[in-house]
Amino acid sequence: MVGLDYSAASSALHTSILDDVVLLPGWDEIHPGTWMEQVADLIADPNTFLIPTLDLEVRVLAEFFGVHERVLAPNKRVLDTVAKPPVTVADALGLPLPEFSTDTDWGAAERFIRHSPYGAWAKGQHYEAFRVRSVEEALAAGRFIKREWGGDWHLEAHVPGQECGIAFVARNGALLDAVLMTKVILTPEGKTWSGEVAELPDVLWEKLRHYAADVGWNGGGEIEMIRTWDGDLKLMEVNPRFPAWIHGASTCGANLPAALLAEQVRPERRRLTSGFTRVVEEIAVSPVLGISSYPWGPSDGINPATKHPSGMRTLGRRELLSEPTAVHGPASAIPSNRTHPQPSESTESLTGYETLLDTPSESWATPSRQILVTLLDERVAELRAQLDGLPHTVLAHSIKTCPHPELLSRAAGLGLVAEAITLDELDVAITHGFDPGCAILNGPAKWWPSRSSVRCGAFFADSVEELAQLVRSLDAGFRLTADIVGIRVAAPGVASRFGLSFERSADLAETAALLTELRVRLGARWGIHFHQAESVLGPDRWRHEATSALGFADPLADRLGDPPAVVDFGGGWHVDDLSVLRSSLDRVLATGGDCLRTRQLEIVLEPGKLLTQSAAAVVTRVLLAKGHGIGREVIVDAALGDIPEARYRAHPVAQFIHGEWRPVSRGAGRILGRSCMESDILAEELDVSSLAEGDFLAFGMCGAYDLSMSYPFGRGLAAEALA
Amino acid sequence: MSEQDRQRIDSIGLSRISHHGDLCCREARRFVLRRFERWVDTGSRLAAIPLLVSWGPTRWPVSWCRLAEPDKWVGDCGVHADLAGELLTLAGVPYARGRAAIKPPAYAVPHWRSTWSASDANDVWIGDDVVHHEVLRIGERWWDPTEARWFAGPGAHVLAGCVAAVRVEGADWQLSEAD
Repeated sequence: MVGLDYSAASSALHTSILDDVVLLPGWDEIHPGTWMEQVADLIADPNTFLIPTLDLEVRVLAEFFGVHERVLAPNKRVLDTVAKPPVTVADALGLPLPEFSTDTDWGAAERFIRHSPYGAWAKGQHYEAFRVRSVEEALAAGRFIKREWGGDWHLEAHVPGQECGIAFVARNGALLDAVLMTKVILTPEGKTWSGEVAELPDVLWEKLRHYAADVGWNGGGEIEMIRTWDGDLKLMEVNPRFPAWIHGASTCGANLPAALLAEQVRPERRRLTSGFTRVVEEIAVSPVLGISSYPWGPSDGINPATKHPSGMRTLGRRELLSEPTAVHGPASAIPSNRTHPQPSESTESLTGYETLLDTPSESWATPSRQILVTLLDERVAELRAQLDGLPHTVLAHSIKTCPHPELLSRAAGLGLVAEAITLDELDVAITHGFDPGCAILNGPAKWWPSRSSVRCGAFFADSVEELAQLVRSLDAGFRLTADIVGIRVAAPGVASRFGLSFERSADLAETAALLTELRVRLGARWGIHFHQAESVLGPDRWRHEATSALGFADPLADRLGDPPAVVDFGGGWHVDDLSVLRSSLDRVLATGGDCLRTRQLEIVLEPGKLLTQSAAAVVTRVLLAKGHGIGREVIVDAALGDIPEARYRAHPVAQFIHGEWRPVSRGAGRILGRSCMESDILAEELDVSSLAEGDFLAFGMCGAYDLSMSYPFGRGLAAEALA
Repeated sequence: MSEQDRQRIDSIGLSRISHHGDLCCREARRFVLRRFERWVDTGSRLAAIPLLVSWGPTRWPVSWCRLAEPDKWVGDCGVHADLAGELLTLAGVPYARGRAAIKPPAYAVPHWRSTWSASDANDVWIGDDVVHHEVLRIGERWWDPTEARWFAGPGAHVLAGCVAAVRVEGADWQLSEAD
């Protein structure tokens, strides 16, 4: 038995059970032609077989040697079927894949993650996977994978469950043996430390046998799966070599490498030991190979030995491998049993903002905002259509999200009520036509700045202390007129500083007592409020958290003696998720507290940016274009202070060209802001190759927090001076 | 499993968290079950039971309002099994309560006896060779609510020991081959 590897740091080369060792240079040093000659020499003897165990080595062997009778590894055709995501194998084995998306631009990645309630993975085509929870993390992981390993990457939804896998072996398409291993103890990297080993169920054996025969599998293989709590198996990956735990299976009585060499079929009545565990064993290094000290890093002292001392990462980047030729299937896969489909609209198609922009002229002062009232009208109409059939619904306009005077007046004119978080905001709302008697006060500082009297429609206290403080204020002479006295309830699964979280009966009793006192003193009814950003949680988690939080309506109703008059749903909804808003509300109302299912209940909806994000654009001009080709960048006269949300989400960009506004297509360029901040990057991955000095650009979807949170950085004056 | 052990285990009643039929238990039950709502799926909620309710001596009867009272929840396998049943019922997952006879490592038994004795809790579940453990039957599989793991049935190992026998409440015992 000869050990073959590409670094003396590979531990197994030092073991005394090897008869000989072949140490090749690392993959960053290998000359492909010389490597081919050496490997051919090594397997020239008819009784010599090579069993590769590195993913990329298997691929290079298939590429350079094709089908070779003494290379016991899958050929190129087989490898094409296991390229990630392994759609072909999933079909053959009848195992569903997790949801995935090979479309990894900002918008698609953001949408995929938002609709993955358990988070997602960024997975390389060849190797490596990173758990990601935000689009920034996903794109960073994708860039790392492409840079370090080469090839494509995709996003895959995390599946909670128990990791298990199949190790199998086939010779020229004939399945010889296979075992099922369920991981018991994992290392922090998720590698198997101990596992249960069992025979493969007959159904899976038959499907695997057919698949191996169809593709002509040769050599070892591993199928990685997740067993969900319900017992269903989902296919994660297929690896074209034995798993690292293959000796564990041997110790249990299934020696698959031996079966491969001897072409030995699984014995009829075998009794496997139930599992294996690993131990750490220190061995003396081979005197021939020796050992070398830690390599030094460029700046921070010792650079620990890397995870892949053989330089396998380099191999992925050396372009020795051709792209898989198999059809991958769809760019994304969503299970057919999903109850709430992902919205299909893209941001661009949803708004069409560029068709509404004015024709720019040289006299325009840029950067400037263009308010697109029509889009607010459209969104309000669409939302009202969604809510059709629900009795007693009220739409609220979030002042903090979109305080632009023109849009405030329009929202008031459309019959929306104002949702304010301070009394200053309430004043502004009244000035722009909102009815104070219908206004809603939310947030931790809703009574600031101090007033001697306030009139509003409803307020939702953020804590029991706020209720008590309000009682004290009334005692001290504060005059409050409100029809609804309410509380905001905390979401159990979201770390948040806001809302009441009931831990015991005493909390509930104290809250009920204070609500009762305030109701009596104000002559008001009571309400309950849930407020979490759907744009952050995604619709699945939003429904879950809302249902759970509003479950406290029932015990409160028990103590207060009547059901709530109002349930208020707050928190910004993502602009793409309008199509699932109604079904989400229906679900929460059907499964939340029993007392929410009364005909008299008034439903208030504060969807925040869903209504207003599309209603403004920022028009800017190119100051300077830098570089050439795909790396070209342009600097514009807008800055992060004008579009502060540019750091957190991609805005659609249009260019004024040939007398009309046209969307700027995707590419590899960047649009940079005018300020001297490194982070002043307004857009990435756009084709800016044709942009020149003086060109007009317009950033869409700037009608929400881009309006309310803009700041005057780089204008030579502080905000208060400008005001 | 000896006949003596079998009789001893069969004499132990199934653990049920009791309800005073009043606001105290109605609200307390909601507080207890709400703690599990931060997890979206049923499997995660069941897995959270031993994380939120540390395994330890329990003096029965246990009511919802008593269970919800302290900051640190403690419960034996009966509390775990009844909570698991509540969560499964809420999720609409059919199940049956059951019990297992487990052969623990010999040195564990005196520790459990001492701990239960110090808490003045009934230790009838602890035999010399075999201990009583409450489990659930969900579909075709057995669920250990204290270790939050599936097990195959008689002959399987859980961390507490080897499952000598198991039965659904009201049905016959299924013995391991060794028994």
